[in-house]
Amino acid sequence: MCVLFVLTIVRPLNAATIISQPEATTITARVGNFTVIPTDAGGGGFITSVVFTGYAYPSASVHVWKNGVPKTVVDANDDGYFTITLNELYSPNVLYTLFAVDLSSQRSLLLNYPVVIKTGYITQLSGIKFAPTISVDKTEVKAGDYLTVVGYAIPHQQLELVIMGNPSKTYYTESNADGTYEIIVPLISIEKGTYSIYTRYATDMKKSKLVTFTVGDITIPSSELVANIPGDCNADQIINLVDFSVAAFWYNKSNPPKCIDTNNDGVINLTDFSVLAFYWTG
Amino acid sequence: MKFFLPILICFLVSVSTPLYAADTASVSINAPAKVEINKNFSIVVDVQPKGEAINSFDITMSYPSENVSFEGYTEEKSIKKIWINSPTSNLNTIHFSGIIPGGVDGVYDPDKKDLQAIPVAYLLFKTTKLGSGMFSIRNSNILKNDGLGTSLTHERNNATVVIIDQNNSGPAKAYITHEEGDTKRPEPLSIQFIDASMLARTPSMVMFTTTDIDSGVAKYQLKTGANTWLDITSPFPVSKQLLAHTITVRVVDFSGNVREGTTTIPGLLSIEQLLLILFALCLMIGIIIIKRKQ
Repeated sequence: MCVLFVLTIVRPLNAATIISQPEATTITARVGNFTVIPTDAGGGGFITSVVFTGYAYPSASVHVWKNGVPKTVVDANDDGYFTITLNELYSPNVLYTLFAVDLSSQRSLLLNYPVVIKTGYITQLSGIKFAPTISVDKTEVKAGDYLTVVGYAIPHQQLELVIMGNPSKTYYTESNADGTYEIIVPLISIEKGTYSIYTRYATDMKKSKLVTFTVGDITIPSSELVANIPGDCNADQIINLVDFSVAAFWYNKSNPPKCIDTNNDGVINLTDFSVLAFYWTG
Repeated sequence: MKFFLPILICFLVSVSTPLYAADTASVSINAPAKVEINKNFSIVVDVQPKGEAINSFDITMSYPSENVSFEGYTEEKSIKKIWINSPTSNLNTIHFSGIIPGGVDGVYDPDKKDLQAIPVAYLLFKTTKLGSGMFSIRNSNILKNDGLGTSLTHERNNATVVIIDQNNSGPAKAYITHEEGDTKRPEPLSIQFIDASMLARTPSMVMFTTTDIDSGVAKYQLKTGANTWLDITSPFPVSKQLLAHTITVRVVDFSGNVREGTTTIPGLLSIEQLLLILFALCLMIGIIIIKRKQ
């Protein structure tokens, strides 16, 4: 189940009454607050803009794409806080895509915000929070050895590391003042096999990327050159239209390459496309 | 007091039923209730994921082909996505599937209270015969944006359209939702060559994509040299020739407007390499001739 956040639409009579007399409506959404402010205070001077605020990682770069095209990049501060203002024109259908890149060059997953832009309104999407980034030091771990999981998060936040399985195992830690975190996971009581892990904030259900590792007979360190992203057949660390085209070529064909058959079921179907969409970098 | 229990039951039923419905994810067809004969109208297929982010969909629906004709689709009002299969009609069914990279859990509309349903397709029709007919979802698969491709449990909501003759039915509102006569060409094509050397067991391909705002892409065609046009889909496998060659891709929208784009398929050899080989051959032949003369 997804944690439900509070989204507030503030619809004041004019700009001067914004703070004092908000008409608040509570609904469920991914962002913390969604505020619409009319900007014509009587002089006819309309401003139409969209404002994004939230937290990424300390000193991360936060990218905004509009309808799949890069629009702007800003730097988050030492707390990971960022704010972005885009001056816009009326549009009934704009898809904003945000992602963050941490100081170790790890990318977050994409966050999408389809927005209806109204002329003369400032649309504020606040409370945005990227899930932590994640990477591991080994792709295969000898049974009984340790797996080190590192990444970036908002400073001083409670984090959960979940090893997906039956049953799943959860480990806890807190991010450091510089946003880094590290969890050393003992793999003593975990059976041999392939597992997926992710991290998330204790107060947010959004997951990091899923990272897979194998518990086996030997230990194989991770290499930056082999990120093992599902569906990344050309191993360029990017999931984009090239990977989509490879999946589309093998769609409903027999004996597809393993690199594109993300769930190893011997067929390329909607599930594999869904996995590509999850890891999409563009 | 004797009325208290029935009133309480009625109250609980009236309150609990909408709550249950409101909490269930759904795929819905939204269509006008009445449309005049020989008029264009559109229907919206939307997904209300109820708090879950989704990233892919595969939907097959039926439509009353004896009363309406399928005229295409429009991208303008629907969510940005990448089609796996753009909407195509076969007899009385329409099938489409696609992905929304990064996933989405709803549309932010300042005029609406809640996160709005995600419009995955706007389909265009024209009424051809009086009567009524149902647009119904035959099959739907919606997957969560969870990295695993987990199916989203959902309900399906269909819609019925009545086609009326305004002259005989009195003043009835006609729901004309798109204009006839789309004369705009599709957007410029994006064409990219993908070399087989990059991909395991996958041949060299060209991938191409574009959009057509008003009536949607009906088909793509390919022409190499002076050959005739061949209907294709993206990606399309191509083989390298000795030297680079150009291919032309044509996109045709549902209104018959076309646009073409070209790309160059690299050859196995560059001009410089070929000239070098020819020079080497000439040199060898020359040496052989000189040696024979000696």
